[in-house]
Amino acid sequence: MSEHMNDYNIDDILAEFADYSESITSFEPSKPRTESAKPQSPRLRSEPRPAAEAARPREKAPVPPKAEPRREREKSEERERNAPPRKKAEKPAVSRRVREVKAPREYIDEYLEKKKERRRTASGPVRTIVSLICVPVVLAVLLWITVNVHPDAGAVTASSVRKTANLVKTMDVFLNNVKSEALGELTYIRKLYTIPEEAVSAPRPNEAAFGVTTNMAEVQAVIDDAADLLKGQTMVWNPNLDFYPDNNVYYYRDATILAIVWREKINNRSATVAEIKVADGSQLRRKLSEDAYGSSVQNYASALADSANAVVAMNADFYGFRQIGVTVYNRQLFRFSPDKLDNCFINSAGDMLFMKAGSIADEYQMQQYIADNDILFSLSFGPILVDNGVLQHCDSYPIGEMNLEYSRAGLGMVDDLHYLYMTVNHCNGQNPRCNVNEFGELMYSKGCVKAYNLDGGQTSEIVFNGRPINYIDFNAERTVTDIIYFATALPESEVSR
Amino acid sequence: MNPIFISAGTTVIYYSGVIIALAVAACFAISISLYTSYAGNGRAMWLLLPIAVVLSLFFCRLIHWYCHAEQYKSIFGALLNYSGGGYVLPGAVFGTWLAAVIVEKLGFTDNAPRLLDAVAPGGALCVALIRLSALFNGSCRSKIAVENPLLQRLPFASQGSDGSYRFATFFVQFIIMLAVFLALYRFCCRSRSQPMKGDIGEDGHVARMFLLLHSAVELIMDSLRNDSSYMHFNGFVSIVQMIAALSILGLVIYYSVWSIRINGRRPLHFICWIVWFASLAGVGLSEYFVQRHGDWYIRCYAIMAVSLVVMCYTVIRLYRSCCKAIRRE
Repeated sequence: MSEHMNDYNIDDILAEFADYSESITSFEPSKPRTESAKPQSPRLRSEPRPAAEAARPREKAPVPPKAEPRREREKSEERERNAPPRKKAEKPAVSRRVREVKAPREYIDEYLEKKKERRRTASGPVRTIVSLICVPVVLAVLLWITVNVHPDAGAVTASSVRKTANLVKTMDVFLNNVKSEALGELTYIRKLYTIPEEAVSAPRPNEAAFGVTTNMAEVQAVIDDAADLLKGQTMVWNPNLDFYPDNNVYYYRDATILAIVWREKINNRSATVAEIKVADGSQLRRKLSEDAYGSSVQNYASALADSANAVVAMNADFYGFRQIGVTVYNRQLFRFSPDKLDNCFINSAGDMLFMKAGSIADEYQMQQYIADNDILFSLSFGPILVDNGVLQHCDSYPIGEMNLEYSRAGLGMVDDLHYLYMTVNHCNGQNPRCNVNEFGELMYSKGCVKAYNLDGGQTSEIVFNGRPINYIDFNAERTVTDIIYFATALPESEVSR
Repeated sequence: MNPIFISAGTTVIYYSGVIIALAVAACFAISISLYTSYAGNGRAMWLLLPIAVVLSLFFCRLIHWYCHAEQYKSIFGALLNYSGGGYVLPGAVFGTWLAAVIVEKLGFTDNAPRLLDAVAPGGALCVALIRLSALFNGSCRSKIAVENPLLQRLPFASQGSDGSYRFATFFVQFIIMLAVFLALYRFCCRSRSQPMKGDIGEDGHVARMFLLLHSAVELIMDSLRNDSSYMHFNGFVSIVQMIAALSILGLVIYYSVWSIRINGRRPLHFICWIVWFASLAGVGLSEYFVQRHGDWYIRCYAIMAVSLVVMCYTVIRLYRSCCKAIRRE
């Protein structure tokens, strides 16, 4: 072996080894394969080649140099062997990597790239932990949705009637009816009928009791038949009114309610008037859409009236349109914002009680007022038109376009349990309408001792037996959130008798 | 009228709740399959779902509380108690967008628009199934009463809780959103190989198309309902319609700006703007007349539908002006 060693020059071997090590140090290990480095099909390529690049023809690969013939190779090897010894190659400063001088921006880009790389290639345990957390969270979310999310399952504040033990009135009604039955052949005692407060709708009216006519004598006869119900009160209707030509007069009469609806000209305005006399205060009622305060559903007044079995109905204050006013429904206070609007309260006796804007500032006082006055529901539009027989005048009001000529609607009281609905509309666009104060004068001229302005415009509507009677703006009903209506208290079983 | 699926003790599960959960699950399945096929990080989608659900419910309820405050005892009651009350759907769109931004900030993805692109088709399917669930809880309320016995069946009409037959608004919306889902799915697949001109990014367009189509559908469908949510200062224009109109306007502005940057100002832009505003006027006037004259609903909604189609086409045309022409094999 030592003989062979003498044939080789150690320095040459070391020089060769130094050359070989230089070639190794310039080699960089390849980056580990990541998901994003997967070869992607052209369709899934996120960054398509720019058009310019796509148009440029591909450059030809460099041709490797031709291999030297064998004899020349041997000659070059011999030359190298005989060459003078080389100086020791200097070892590279860096053992593995070639340290290049980079611009600062390149360092930043490289750092960001590595950061992205670390995110993409999270270690296995981290991935497992995240998966273990995410999967049950997702399943829990889906389960929670299944149990809890069911939209429109009913208004949250569905109002229930706060029942009051009005035993006195109940006993009075019961005893009266017992006496009437017992002494029926000896003397006539008029039976009393009431509609329970908790009833969602009233008893169905007697279809045979509805009528329509242009014959004033027929209407007078209906009024004469209701003398027992009227108890000497004078009707607003009379055959000498300035009726519209070929005007129909609608009527309904049974033992508990008399309703007459007609259209007339008052001061050149087209007015639709409904006069109602009822036997009991429970027959003046209010219906909210879906029978729940705050329901987002709006319905036509005729549809609401039909579902309530109303004899005659009218739009109310459209409480869902605004956020001010006082709203009482089924004896419960739902909204208390009394500063800007006059309010009208209806009690169990059917009386209209007025409250000027801002007269009660405290919600507790309001609750007390409701309890003390036996309030069933409220109307919150206004202003007050007539109070205790005195015509009111209003200079300004926050809602209702009070100084404009507009379609108007109002509720008035002529006498005890004796009411008047009135609307003023265009009639085929030929008649003027009125502002709020003029409308108050019209109500006052009809003999109202109390009158309250309700929502006007396209909302103003009188519905009789399920269909609108007045000329509604644009000749089409508008959906509303609530109505007030009069209904019969006569049970359907009594109708068949 | 909300049929019960399972009742166990005090826990009641309704059919509508089951369908809504299935809708969310279907949206998630489609979104994650689209996203991971596009070399996306699946973990981002797993994280997106719960955040999107929470934020969507929050914003949907917040908008509903604003419009129907009287249904809730307080804002905290509205936002913390989800056992009752309602929701306004545009809040889900905003909630999902916000969730994608949060997932991006947390580092699970570096491209939130691409994440939203994957969610968009699934979102359309989710909306479709949510509307279908309304058949089970009786909330498919329409203004239009259907009295012709031949039409008193699906897909024309459904029976309400009061026994009357009304136009099946939500069922029709289910069908339309199903078609939107199919269109968006195809568009999502094709948009991957659609190069764009200039500096406009390639991501986010599917999500924008979802916003466009969903807003157009909501604009007309919300008008058909009788339980719309209105602004406090205006009881005529619903908040859903306002959000939808503003969304479409935002898309017009976005694509107009990019189209002008890329192509320069051209007559096409002016034509698109004029046509778009004319269509908007058509939608507004139709809505005005149908509110005043309820019996004109057939012609008003026909005009509104045509106007909305023209509006959508205008936006799509502006989008196409930002795309490079390619030859598809």
